[in-house]
Amino acid sequence: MNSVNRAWRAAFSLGFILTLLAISHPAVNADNSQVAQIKTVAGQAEIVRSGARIVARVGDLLYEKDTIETGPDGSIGITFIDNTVMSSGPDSQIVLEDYKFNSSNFKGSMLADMNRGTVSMISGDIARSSPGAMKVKTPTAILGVRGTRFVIEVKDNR
Amino acid sequence: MRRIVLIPLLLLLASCSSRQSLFVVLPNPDGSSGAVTIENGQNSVLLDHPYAAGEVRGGVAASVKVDQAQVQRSADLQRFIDQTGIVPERDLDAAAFARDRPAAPSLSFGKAGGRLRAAHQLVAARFAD
Repeated sequence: MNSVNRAWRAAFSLGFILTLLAISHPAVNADNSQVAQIKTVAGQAEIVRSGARIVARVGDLLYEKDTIETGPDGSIGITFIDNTVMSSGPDSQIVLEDYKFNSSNFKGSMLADMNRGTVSMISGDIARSSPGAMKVKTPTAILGVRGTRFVIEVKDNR
Repeated sequence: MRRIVLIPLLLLLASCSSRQSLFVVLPNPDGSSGAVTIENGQNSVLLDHPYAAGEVRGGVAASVKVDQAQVQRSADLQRFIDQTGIVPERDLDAAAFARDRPAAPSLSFGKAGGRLRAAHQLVAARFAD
């Protein structure tokens, strides 16, 4: 009888620990492949992943579907694996909606969903190899990028 | 006839409403630039030279002229980007960067977090109506 209780207790403890781990380390997305890395952070900046908020730190890897948010004093600089560079200013929200990159032929696609704030970008291999494959969506328009540097500002309509 | 009246009216309304978003092409270090296209379902605007700018106002996309002060603020941002140090990026994904290929530029903002914020404040001021 004691051994049955011990087994139940062990199973319960294991379940509890797994639940804690799941809460403290939100699962990355299905394909589990990194698409970018945070190069600099100033002020308040967070990653929203699978509904969980994570404080953004230099060196953190980013995945498809991650949302990047900065506070009133926040800014963040990110490099993607195709060498696209993105820096975002205060009060910004950007969702890495879609990102595909083939490192063999440098082709791919990218869609960033920018809901508010300011962002400056230098396009990388995706825009260079696949003209029109890099897009930034705002609440009022879609920007198609053909290999260039640009700045976007989206007014916050919250 | 109704259409003739409606179109100027819509344009007038668009010009009266506030800017919803602004897009500006910045020059490359050699002075050249690529291009971006703004599409909003109603019309599209091509921006294909340095400091070409477009906005969406009242749901209508249009190219806009930037004045000298705005160009200067964009130039400040551009200078900031260049000053942060463009370095080859090879530490992110070994598979992606394993091949020996010309390094595309990328930014390392390292110690420049404060300047990054300052630059974005400049940009924010630039976009203020």
